[in-house]
Amino acid sequence: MAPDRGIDNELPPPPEDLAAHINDFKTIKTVKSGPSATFRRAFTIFEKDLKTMAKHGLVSSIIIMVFLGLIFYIMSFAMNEAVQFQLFGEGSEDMNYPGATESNPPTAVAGDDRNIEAGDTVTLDASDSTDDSALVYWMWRFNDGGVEVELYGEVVEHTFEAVGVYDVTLMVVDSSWNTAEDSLTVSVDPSSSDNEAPWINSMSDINIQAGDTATFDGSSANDTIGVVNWTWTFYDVFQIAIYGETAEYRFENTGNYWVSLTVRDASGNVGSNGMNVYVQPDGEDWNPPYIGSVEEAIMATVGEPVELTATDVYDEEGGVAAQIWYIKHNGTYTVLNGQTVEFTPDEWGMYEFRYLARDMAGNAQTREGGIISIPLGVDVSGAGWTATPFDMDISFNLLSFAYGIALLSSVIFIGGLFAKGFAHEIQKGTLKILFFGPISVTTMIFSKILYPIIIGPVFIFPLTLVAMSPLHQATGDILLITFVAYILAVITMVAAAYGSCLIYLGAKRMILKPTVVSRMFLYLSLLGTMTVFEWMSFLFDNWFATESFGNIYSDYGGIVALLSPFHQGGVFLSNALTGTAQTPDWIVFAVPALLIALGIVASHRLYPDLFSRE
Amino acid sequence: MDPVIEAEGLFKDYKNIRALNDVTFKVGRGEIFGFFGPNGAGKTTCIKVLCGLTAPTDGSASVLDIDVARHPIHVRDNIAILSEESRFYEEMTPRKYLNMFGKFMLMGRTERLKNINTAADLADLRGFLDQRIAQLSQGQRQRVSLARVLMADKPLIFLDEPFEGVDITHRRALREHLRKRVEDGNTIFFTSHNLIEAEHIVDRFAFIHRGRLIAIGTAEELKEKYLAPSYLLHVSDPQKAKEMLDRSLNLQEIKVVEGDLQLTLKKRSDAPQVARILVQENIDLFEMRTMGTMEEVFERTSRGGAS
Repeated sequence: MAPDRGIDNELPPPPEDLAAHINDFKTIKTVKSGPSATFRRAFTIFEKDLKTMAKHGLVSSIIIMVFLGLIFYIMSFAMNEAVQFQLFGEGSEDMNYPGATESNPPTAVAGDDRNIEAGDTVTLDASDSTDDSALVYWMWRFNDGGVEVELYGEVVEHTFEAVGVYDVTLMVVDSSWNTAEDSLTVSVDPSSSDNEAPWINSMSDINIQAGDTATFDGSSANDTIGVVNWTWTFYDVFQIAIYGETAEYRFENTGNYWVSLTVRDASGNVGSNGMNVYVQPDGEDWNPPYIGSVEEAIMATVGEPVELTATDVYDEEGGVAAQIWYIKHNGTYTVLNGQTVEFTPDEWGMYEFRYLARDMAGNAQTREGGIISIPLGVDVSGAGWTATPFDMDISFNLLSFAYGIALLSSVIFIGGLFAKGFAHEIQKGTLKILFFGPISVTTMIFSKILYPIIIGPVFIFPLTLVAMSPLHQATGDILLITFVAYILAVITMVAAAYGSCLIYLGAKRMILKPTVVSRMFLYLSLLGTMTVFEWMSFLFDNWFATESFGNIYSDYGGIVALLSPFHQGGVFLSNALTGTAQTPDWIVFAVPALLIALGIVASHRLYPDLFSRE
Repeated sequence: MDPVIEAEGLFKDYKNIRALNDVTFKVGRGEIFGFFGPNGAGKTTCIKVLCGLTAPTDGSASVLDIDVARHPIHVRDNIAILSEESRFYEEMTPRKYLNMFGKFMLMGRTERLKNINTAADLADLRGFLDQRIAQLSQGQRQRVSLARVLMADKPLIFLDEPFEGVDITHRRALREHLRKRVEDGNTIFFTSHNLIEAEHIVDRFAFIHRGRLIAIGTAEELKEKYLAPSYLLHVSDPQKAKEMLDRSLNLQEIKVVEGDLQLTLKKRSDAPQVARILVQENIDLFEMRTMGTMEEVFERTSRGGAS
């Protein structure tokens, strides 16, 4: 019995005799709508909405779409250009890197110091090095008997022939160009009781003309047990190392060269000395050619050719005789001739180059630079591009970026269209006409779900694609990421539509009997609420400078957060807006509760007359 | 077959208003059930509860053997509702509007066109079937709503003021159509302010006042129960009948009006004797019926009790 709230009871009681007045007919077979009926009816409602929208909003939608496309493209392009990283550690020059990176540096572990005898082979192992994404580059550097040695790889081997103490430096680089270094010492003792180093008597300087061949004579080196190795090193564009008691080298370029000779005996003991090689021009011309400019940092994609060119190259006397590009990568050289050459990097990493222009007399001028070869696209699962666009510490992944764009597009278009259809019906009161027909709440919600599903490909997908296009990704990856982001945006919009319908209809005391399908959307809307939690919390984090909010998700909602790119979307948007992330728990949970309460109050205020009382 | 509608102890409260107060009734198959009361009496609330559009505060209702509170959508799948709501999709024409609802009812194209044409004729829409609804008058809009309900092939329809805006000629056709529907085993739940017109069509009446059901029954039953025992007699010899009855019974009043005899008894229990006396005096009794209108019945009941 309903509670008596002091309502008028003066009228007589209801008639007692209400015997049924029943005629005899065949039994009525009632019909019950299934999912197919729900879909057909929902589509009919959508069809009706679409006609209205097409009539009133098509032109403005197209204008907005073009405008937004431009904005998104410029935004994405600018971000792409603004992202910087430091190549090879602190203090080095910042360079632009297309796309974004994550800024967490790896940890380099070179291993323990070694003590060996000359001639022993050492395995250098960097496998204990770690990174939050992936290490892609390992370089071991040391000087071995005057020769700069660079070894590439996670695990490498090197035979130390010469006695001495070697400082071996390991540099590791992750997929975001973050670097770290570690070092170890290799102490090499003589391999026998002989510990007397070889000696070299004085060496005579050499005077030659450009284009001549110099002969180096190492016969002045002596040792108690005999010299077994002669190594000649000097710099001619790059370091040159020549082996043998006597050696020859053709000097094409004028200049003064310091040539070192390092000799080693059988026990590994070493001694060294040096001499000058003076290379004179062939003629009276002492002036090198002029080089206008050479691009010093060139971005390249693995497997795609890049053009190297020098501008304004000329020589006033005799003309330019040779133009040579020396390209060094992982210890090997590629030599190309010409003012403009085409080079295709076949690996990830840094390619150093020297451009040399030489005149007829042998006078040479050089310029240096680097080709940064990056793979096309990044590992989406690792996703870690940490970057500093617009001077903010932003960490995000491509999917989050695409999701943010897709969601923004959805809110503008679907939200706008949704408002045109659903809110218009509410305001005009026509919505309830539908409910007088066989329209369930599920049908109504489903009709609105069709907005993003059907209209989405026209608006959301292309806009997201436009925003993604400046990023350094393979076309297939861009399409895939855009598609996933689009689906996620649709789910979010559906959740929002469902949530708002439930709140609204519940406030209007409609009988709500959600079907299983409709309940599924409820769960999705909860997921959407998690996003609201997250975004809002990150904002509060920043405003109140409180504890890290991210921990809340890892502690309580980690699985949800990890399963859902809403988490990443939240990180992206909130970090982009604020910079850091810290919120107390109670705010995290109070904010969505407040939002829901506001939604209920707003629905009462805005549409008080719908399904009004008698 | 159980009753088509069964309402048991329905309550519906809105803040400080009790819109339905212990409402209990049944509606049988194949009848036009009239639900009457002044504005704010609870008629529309009762329809909303029975259609599953709002939940009762207490009590239960089943429609077509379906529990309304538990399966409101199943209920609405099998009924058609004409509400007093007059809002429309202004951009549409009545034809498109009806077509849309035909799709909601999952009708095929052929069936839809046929039903739209039939309903348009019955509701007199022919003159404006392809005009925008925005241009239509209130009465015309009501007829569009009526057509929407008439085109539905449902075993139970709720009609809230169905004759509003329908001219006299079409009212008659409409009444005949509704009568035919119930003869085919369908049921109509009917509300109106116009009790005089309703008497022509409604089989059984229920009166609601301030949310409480105060009377229910056929017109004859209610008049018999709530009005004074006044009768109209069509007899072969009115003058002689007047003399004989006046002499034999304790009458309050008796007179001959336009060839018929009108009399009011002092005791309702004397009514059976009227026919017996006339037979004894060899006077033919062609018809004897209770006098009074349903409006009078409603006035009597809503004032607070039967005579």
